[in-house]
Amino acid sequence: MSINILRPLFDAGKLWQGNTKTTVEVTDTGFPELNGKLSGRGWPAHMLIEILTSDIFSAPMRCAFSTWKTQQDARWIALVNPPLALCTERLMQEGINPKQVDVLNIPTNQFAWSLEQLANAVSTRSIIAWESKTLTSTQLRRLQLACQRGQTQLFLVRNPRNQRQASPAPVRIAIDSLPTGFEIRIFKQPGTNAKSPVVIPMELHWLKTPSPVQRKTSTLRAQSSLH
Amino acid sequence: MIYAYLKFPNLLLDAQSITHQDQSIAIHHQGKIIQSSELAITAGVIPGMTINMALTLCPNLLIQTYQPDAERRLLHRLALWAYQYSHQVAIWNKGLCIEVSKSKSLFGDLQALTQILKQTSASQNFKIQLAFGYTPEMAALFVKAGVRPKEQAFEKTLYRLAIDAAEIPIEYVKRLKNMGFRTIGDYFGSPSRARQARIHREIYLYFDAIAGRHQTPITWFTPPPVFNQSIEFLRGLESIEMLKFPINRLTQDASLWLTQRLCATSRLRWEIILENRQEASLDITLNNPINTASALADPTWLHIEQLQPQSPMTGIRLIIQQIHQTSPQKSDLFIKTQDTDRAQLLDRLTARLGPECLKAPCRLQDPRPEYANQLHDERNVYPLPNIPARPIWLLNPPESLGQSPEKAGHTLLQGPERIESGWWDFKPACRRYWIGLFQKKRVSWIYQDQYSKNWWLAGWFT
Repeated sequence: MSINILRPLFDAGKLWQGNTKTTVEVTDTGFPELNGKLSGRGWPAHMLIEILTSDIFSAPMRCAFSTWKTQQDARWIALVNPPLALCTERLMQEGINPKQVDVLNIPTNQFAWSLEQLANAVSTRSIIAWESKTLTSTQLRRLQLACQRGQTQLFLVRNPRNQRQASPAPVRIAIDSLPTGFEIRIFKQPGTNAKSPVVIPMELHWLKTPSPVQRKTSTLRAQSSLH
Repeated sequence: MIYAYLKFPNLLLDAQSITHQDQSIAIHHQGKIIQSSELAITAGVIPGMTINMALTLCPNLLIQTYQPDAERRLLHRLALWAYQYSHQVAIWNKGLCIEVSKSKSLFGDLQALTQILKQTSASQNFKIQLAFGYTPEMAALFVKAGVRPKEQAFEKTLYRLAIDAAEIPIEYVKRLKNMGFRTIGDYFGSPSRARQARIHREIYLYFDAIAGRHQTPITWFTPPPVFNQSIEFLRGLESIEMLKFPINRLTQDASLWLTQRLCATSRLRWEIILENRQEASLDITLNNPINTASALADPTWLHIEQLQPQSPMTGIRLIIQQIHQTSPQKSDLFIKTQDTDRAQLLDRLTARLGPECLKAPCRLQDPRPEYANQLHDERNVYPLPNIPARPIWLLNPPESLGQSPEKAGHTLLQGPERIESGWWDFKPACRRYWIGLFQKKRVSWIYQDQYSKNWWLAGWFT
């Protein structure tokens, strides 16, 4: 078959060859080492990104925060079923406008529907959601399609036991906590093979552990300033 | 002036709010059939027939009583629909009269206007017959005769029509025929004075009206200041799913009503009438004023599908009282879709999940972190003073660590940050906050209460 017949499909981006480099819109992860491991040098901007981790507090939020800081626009950010109360002052310290942030607490039976609505909305830029009940493959596929339609980025925090299950999410990463930070393993991403893990240092890693004497002194000083 | 007369051949059937396309239905008044559905006509049931005769011809015929109120309500609804094509619409002669001379320049010629009216009425499942004339009477006569002449041929066509076509009592028709008038042209061919002397004044004026020589006063329709429209069901509906069609119809009408007034609404009131004479009402408040049918129907449906009516539903009513003026939407190439999209998203979410599901992170002016950082319905964000690093997660209420943080696994890294506040609300706080390391893995935010000397876990860094 002549390639000319297929030219319209190539031009429309509906067909590509194995050696064609696909261009996907991305957002900077905020970590140069991690950018290097991702095929588009950043998180895909309009895709479902699965984060498989048992550390639901720190690592996923660190990933989302770092990318939100690097690229801000007039659209909204949403946190769906966060595990703890969000600190607005911290958002402001990170340079994220709290007026552009929504926090949603959604019952388990409405979780997939609500996420689809959010991802479908052009007004939503990025979402981070904590899965309460394992979503089915169909639900994940619908979420991926909604992300493409609404040009929304969705970080879905899931239990690591889902790693063995196939998923329609184009990007899947596993995060393990380390004493120095956390290790990110990208085991599925479009256009490239699996890469070696990346270690992201813990926030406030620059803090030095004070000696007990130093602690005692500072406590006493603080106490004395009270009176 | 050019007028259109719109006749609705199935008006009485449509007023019954039931589908008559696929069943044999007839409407009777004082024992006589006055309108029948197409299937009933095929079975031989024709207007003028007695009920007994109709039932003999068609045993499975569904017979309904003529409801003048329902007919009036439907005509009112149709007038509202026609109002989008002309500012002069009247409910006239059990049909609609529309002044279209100005609409011509907006929609094109009369042919184009006919097409638009036929298409939009078909989309609303209404069958119409229409014709144009210099007066409503002339247009109505053309509808009756089944002709739709062009503007240049109004007079010529009128003069060719038989005198029997005139909408006058039969005895006058006979009398005119006896005078030798076979066509309307014959009538106008005779001297005016002779006609005036021999013919009853009302009949004389009627003929002048159909020829465009006399204007009958018309009471023009004005859209009501409040939208209050209902649909009654012939049989009680047991499933909420069955409300979809009536809701769509009412929201379409409401959208039309709002658009005609260049208005939008953010408050809808739905009333569902139940068979046990009770009513279930539903007030919906939207985030942004809207006026499109889909935007009105979407949150409505999400609200209504959660209803569990106790008995079958016999009707549904939509009331819109509060409206806001809107400006026409700009066709800007660079228009931002986010704002409308955002409002619709919020409406959908709050309709299905309730207003409590969505909160905004706020910063209030309070030094105590648990009061400063809250989730609210309104977005209050006071400027942030220069304060040390805050954790991303807060524990509310804080978790007790006892008398020693080390024993609870927390090593102190940096601090203290002293917060002493709350003297005004009887919840005084005197604390020293530290950044700690929990089990050499996670960075914590802990504090010591200076009154009790107890340690508390207040939050987690990422």
